Amino acid sequence: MAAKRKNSRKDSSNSLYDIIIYVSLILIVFSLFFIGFSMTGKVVDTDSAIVNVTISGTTAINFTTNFLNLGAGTVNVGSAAATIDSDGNVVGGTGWGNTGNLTLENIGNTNVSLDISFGKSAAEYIGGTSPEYHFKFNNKEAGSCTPADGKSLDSWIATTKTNTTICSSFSFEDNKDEINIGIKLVIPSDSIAGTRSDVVTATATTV
Amino acid sequence: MVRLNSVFISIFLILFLIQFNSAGSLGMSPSYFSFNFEPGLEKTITIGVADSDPNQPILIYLAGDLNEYVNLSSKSFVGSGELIVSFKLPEEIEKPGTNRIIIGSKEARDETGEETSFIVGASAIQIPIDIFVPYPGKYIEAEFEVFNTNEGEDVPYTISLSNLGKEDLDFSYVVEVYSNEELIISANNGYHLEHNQKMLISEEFNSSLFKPGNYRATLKISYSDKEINLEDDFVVGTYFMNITDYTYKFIANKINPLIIEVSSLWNSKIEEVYAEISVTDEGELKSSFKTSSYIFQPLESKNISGYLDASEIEPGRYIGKIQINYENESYSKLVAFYFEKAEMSLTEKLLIGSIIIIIILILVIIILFIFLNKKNKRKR
Repeated sequence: MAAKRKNSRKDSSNSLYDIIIYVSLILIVFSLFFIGFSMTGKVVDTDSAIVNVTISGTTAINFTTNFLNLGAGTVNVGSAAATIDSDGNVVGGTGWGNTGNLTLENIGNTNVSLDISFGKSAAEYIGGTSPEYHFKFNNKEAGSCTPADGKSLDSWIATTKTNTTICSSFSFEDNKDEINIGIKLVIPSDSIAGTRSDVVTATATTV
Repeated sequence: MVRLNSVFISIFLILFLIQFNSAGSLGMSPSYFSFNFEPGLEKTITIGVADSDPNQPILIYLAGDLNEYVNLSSKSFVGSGELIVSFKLPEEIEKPGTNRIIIGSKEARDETGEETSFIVGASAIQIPIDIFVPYPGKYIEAEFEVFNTNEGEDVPYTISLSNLGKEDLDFSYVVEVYSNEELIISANNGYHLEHNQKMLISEEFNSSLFKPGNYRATLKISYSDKEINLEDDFVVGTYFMNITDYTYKFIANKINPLIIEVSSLWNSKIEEVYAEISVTDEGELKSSFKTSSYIFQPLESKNISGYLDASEIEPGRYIGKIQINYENESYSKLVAFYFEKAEMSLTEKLLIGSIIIIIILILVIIILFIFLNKKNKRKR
């Protein structure tokens, strides 16, 4: 029995050594990879050519994700309202919890200013006593949107049926031409029952 | 020209429909127009409108200024189309400056249907047509630019002027160039400029006045009782690559990255720029290497990097030589390099920590084993 215990201790010690060796090996491989990557050096392209071409300006945007389903749910009994958002947060309600965003891309070759408007007010969309209907925007690709004066990324803004300028400049350059739009709702316990829908319109204007 | 525009718009429509086939994408081309106001000015322009969905209804609308003078060929399309915008401006527009007509298109989204529990995104595009209306009386807008040069070359400068007022005018200007607040040279002249006209003045200062360095030029334009003051900075370059910063601390007995910040003081491109680095100790060469070649744009500063093999170098202070080679020239600097003892890496720390813990555990087990053995012996 004592011999077995000794063996067991020995085994666990060995496996600990094994783990240390494996972890060390992985770290060595990673370190070598990064050293190799850094030492590759720069490739300098010395070829050059001039091609004359006239490109007509195009202003174009694309909702690469243009449906946002916030799901179904109910306001908890005893709660005055449920607060839900497209990040999946649910307070005072049951159900809902869907995550997602609307995603908008500048697919033209001009920078644009970007306005957002909604088809319905909070009262029209949700109904009940003191409903709230908010949106926020952030850069899916860093540097895509220069927030307009008084606006900031990732801040909830009350929706309006008229245009709200969110980006003074929405870039068309690759790797910095996409933003996300999220939604937050405060649904009162006496809100309109049934499925609800709205249209969010993104308006791009050449700058 | 109209035919050429039509070709561009057709290409735009085809490319747009081929490239973007997801729902919710809308585009218009060209993206911008501008005209100077003339009484009764008439124009017709064509704008391509396209949605990625060929069945998508698109609504066309007008916004902004001067709407009452604009006619649209269509108020809606399905999928895509060519929108003809025509306008005839009045004899007079009250608001001076830029009046902006907005031509908009938006996707008409139907909220009813099976998927009514969603929030749906719809795209809208707005194309501005700017009409510039002259300011009352005399009014000039100007731009001033002095160009960087190299020593021995004349210094060119340009003044571009637009008479945006309703009246013709006479103006004069004075250009002064300063180096550290010291006036180097000044030039002046005067011209007549008719309303709604532009003028580009292009002159040069003689090279003999300028040593390599940084300068500031000021421009004062005087017309009627008004004055415009502008300024611009420029550089007279010299054929020299300067070492402005470098890595000087290294870890002994290993390969280290070495970065050298190099500034080109030459206002033209320099190719084949590389650095040679050597480390010596009392005249004995310890290590050396060459970096790869770089291209420097005019007056550019950037980092040149490479790897210094210090595997045979012990901790201490050594003499380093950094030499920048560029085309047929070179510049070198003797510097001090400090090599320090290597700090233990995280992996080594973890490994040693683990070994210590294992040793402690083994010791504890041994102690327990001895303790239990002794206890058993006592019982017997």
